[in-house]
Amino acid sequence: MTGGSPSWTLRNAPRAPRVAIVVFPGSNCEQDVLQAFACLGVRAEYVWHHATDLGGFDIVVLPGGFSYGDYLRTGAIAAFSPVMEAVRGFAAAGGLVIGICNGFQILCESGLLPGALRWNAGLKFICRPVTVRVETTDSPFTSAAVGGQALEIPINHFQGNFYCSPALLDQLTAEDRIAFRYADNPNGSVSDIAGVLSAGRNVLGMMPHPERAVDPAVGGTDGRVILDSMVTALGSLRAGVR
Amino acid sequence: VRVGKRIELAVEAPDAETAEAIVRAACVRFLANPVIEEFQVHIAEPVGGPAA
Repeated sequence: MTGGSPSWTLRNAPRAPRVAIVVFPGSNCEQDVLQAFACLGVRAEYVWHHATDLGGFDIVVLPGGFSYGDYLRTGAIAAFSPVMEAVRGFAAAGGLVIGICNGFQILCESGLLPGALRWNAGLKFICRPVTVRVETTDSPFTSAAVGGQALEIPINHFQGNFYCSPALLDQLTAEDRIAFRYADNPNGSVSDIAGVLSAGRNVLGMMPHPERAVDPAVGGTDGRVILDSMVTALGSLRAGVR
Repeated sequence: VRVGKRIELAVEAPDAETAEAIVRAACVRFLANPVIEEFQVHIAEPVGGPAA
């Protein structure tokens, strides 16, 4: 996007960004997310799934893992945990919410994002780096990237096959809400979709794990641009840029 | 290959219609994901008597 102000809006963040990482029973990527933000000099905090108040936070992360054992369907039980009511309110107030992997599944089950994640085509668990393209830079999660930029980020999932109806796909396309697409579709996702945005553009769900691509010693640094975008988006507000 | 789930629920309700309504609501909200799943509800014969 060039010119004009971004279409998303954020609530005011007049201090160092505060990041909440929601920990469900069975989450297993919360430490990776904490470390990834630490790489950017941002201290993140764990919030237990019983929390009912996310006041004071600027960013909420739903990390990967197997929340509540992923019984019934991935993310289905977590969607009804006490903290999700708070996440709903936080998102409605314009707070940044990113769901990664299991977090994406939870956001879909919660209705905060459209669509659903099915078993991978081929019914294999896939754990390897993949290349995704940035499909829109008009979001607080991708504003520091270049449109079409290729990012190598690991995926690690069994149910990452994004499904949405043709009508919803048309809507997501028209509203520029497809954040990332796989360069080489690994799991059968509709339209190669790897990440989608909410209508308000302040909620992102993505299957790849940006927090596992922030350190050149282990897996490269292509994921940093996503975390950087979020922190920069909040910082711009703080400095009164917009 | 299609795989499904069979979920058996014991529902306390005054009649079969009410029981079915309760179960359908649970299916829509939780037991099934209507985005990717379909469901059917069958009411079995009532068991037991009035709740103690």
